[in-house]
Amino acid sequence: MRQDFAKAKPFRLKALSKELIEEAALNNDKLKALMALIAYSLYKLCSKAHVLESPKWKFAREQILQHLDKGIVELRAKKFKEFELELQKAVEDISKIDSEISNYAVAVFEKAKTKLASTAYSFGLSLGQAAALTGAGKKDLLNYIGFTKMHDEAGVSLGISERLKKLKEVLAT
Amino acid sequence: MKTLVFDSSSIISISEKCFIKVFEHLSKKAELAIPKRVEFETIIHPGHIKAFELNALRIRMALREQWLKSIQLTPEFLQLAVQIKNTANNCFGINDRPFVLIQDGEAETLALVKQLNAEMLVIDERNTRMLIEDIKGLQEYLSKKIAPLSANEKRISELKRLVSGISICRSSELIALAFEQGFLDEELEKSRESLEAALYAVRFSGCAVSEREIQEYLRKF
Repeated sequence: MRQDFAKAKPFRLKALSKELIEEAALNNDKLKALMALIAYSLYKLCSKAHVLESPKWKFAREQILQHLDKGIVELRAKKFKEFELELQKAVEDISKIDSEISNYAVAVFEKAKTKLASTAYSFGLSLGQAAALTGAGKKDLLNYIGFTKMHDEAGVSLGISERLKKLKEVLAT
Repeated sequence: MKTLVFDSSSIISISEKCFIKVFEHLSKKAELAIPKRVEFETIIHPGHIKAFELNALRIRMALREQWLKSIQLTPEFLQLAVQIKNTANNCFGINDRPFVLIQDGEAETLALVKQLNAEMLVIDERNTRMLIEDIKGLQEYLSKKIAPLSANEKRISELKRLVSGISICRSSELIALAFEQGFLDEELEKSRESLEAALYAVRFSGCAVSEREIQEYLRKF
């Protein structure tokens, strides 16, 4: 992630975020989910011309890289808490630069939570589990997955008519 | 009076599309209940986030008007919620680790169904529904989606015993009922087009209903 960000390879970051969230979903690993969120947020920031052209970006980029570098050191020393702390600091820097130069009211890191929770949901996690993994709101996640075709993929045990018939029976008796 | 228990997903789907008055009509026919955890997930927690606040306020109004009731689990059924969660989350394994299927909200909703001896659970969430109705189907679905899952047959049997006899519907069926029984007449003309739009609205709010199911149901009209 550090290299892809340093070399400004947004699509590598995007692909990495997908790999990381898949591993996070598989192992219920919140730290990997956090890494996925950072990779996705960096992909979004790096793919926006107005961000890259902003005079504030250079400083923010250096700050983020610094936290990633420190994080790598902590990870190599197997200091996972310290590693997570550095990742959180990177998130703070991402959120700060995003709030300063973004055109959107909803922050890039918040959008990443919903997007990656939906990816985790598409891998088969439950709504609650997918939301818990990334910290997304259930309402946002429901709205996001509602516009996808995911619900056409699972098998149908009972259709609307059968369930409605049952519901009417319950209410009638 | 009959009782319907709702989880967060179904409450959100209905309120999100401004169908909150459906609860008022339904509450004349049945008691509508949610566990405290669902109240937290749909009202208290989102109430602090601007983007979620409006929906939370709608649900809060439904509680204030007593269309919906938020019920505290008794210690016995709180214990059942813990047992359901632990059992469900040990039914399947992946890479020698348990595969987490449900969270506190879903577990407490299932326990409330048992506490109130409710006739029906209203849930839009896919996995919990399949967990109750078709656990083998869920295993196949998850194995296809993520990776082959191993099954713990003892835990599966235990879960089946814990959640046996729970009937399920989704917000799509509530909307279909509301349409058929005229609960939506003040806001929608009675036409096939309106019904289709209302069903797609809850689908777009996250209700796990497929396009095929909607189209099959609409053929009757």
